[in-house]
Amino acid sequence: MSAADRAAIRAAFRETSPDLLAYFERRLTDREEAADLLGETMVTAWRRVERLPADVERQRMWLFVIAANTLSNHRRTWQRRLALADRLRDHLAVSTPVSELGDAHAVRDAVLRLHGAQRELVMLIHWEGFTIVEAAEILGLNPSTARSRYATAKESLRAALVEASSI
Amino acid sequence: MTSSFDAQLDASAPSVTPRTPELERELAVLIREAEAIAAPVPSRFRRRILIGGLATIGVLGGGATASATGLLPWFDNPAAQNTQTTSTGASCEVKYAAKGIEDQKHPVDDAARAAAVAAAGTFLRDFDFSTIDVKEAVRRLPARVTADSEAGLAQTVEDYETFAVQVELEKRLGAYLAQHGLPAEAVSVSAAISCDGGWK
Repeated sequence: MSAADRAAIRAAFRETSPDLLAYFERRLTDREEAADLLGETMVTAWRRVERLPADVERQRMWLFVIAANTLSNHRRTWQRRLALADRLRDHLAVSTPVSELGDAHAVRDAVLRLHGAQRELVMLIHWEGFTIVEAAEILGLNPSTARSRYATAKESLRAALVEASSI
Repeated sequence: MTSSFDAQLDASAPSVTPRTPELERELAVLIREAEAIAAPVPSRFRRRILIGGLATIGVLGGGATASATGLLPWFDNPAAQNTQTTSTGASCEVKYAAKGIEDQKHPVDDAARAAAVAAAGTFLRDFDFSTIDVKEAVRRLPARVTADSEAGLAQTVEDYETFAVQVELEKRLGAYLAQHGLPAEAVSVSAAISCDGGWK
């Protein structure tokens, strides 16, 4: 591993780690677990540093793909708690999240009730700010598949919210 | 154009930990710790030069790198050598040398600098490391001391404890030079450290 590799991945982490942390926080019931998965993502990325893209935006995508895989593995298998994330876990435990908007809960509930594949797509686009093509890449989908899936997801969400407001 | 429905979806994101300076610091620590786990520096000698309480550190490679930076491989013939067993049980071989430095805040003429470096070399050659109470030296060192100008804080127990001994050694060297009327600010102590099992 060259000094240039080390410097590049450190810079990529500095730039992207707050967004990666938010990505995990939004997907895990236990917010502090987000620290563990962020630590695991970093360790994985370090071990594959020779594959780090040169382009800064591509580096961000690369790290999110690793994060998505890490989350997927986490959901499938029991993960041991990483001691290295203890400090960050402690910080998250005492930090207060920013306040929420009024009707955000209802929309979020509808998002969370979507079918798994649709849900993750909507979350990446609206919660993480990725384009449909970028979200497709993170999920390993063909862009056209992602577009149609996203359109279907939005129709489902509209219907769910109309139904909820009429009750 | 973003529709109001898109805006509603954007706003539905669950709240996350605010991005504060404290969070930034914790993330920086995590980045360093992940690196220490995933990509430890191989077990080669690392160079640490102590100048006024701040250290620079790097990996000493082949002659080309050393020559290019003006750092000839002094560690092949160090002024002093010590084997330090850390509290983790690691055996660290530490080599020391005295080098002349130019500190603009404390200008020293070349003759005085040469005399100070020579005296420091003698001091190091004759130094008895058993006179350093390592536990006490470690106790005096701040908990999160910066022993690595590149990566920041001392990251390993080995790094921290060998640094504590180096700080004590330089302190005694400074007193020795002052006793002999020589300028301590004209001398730096270089240390090359290698611990078994590499740097974790």
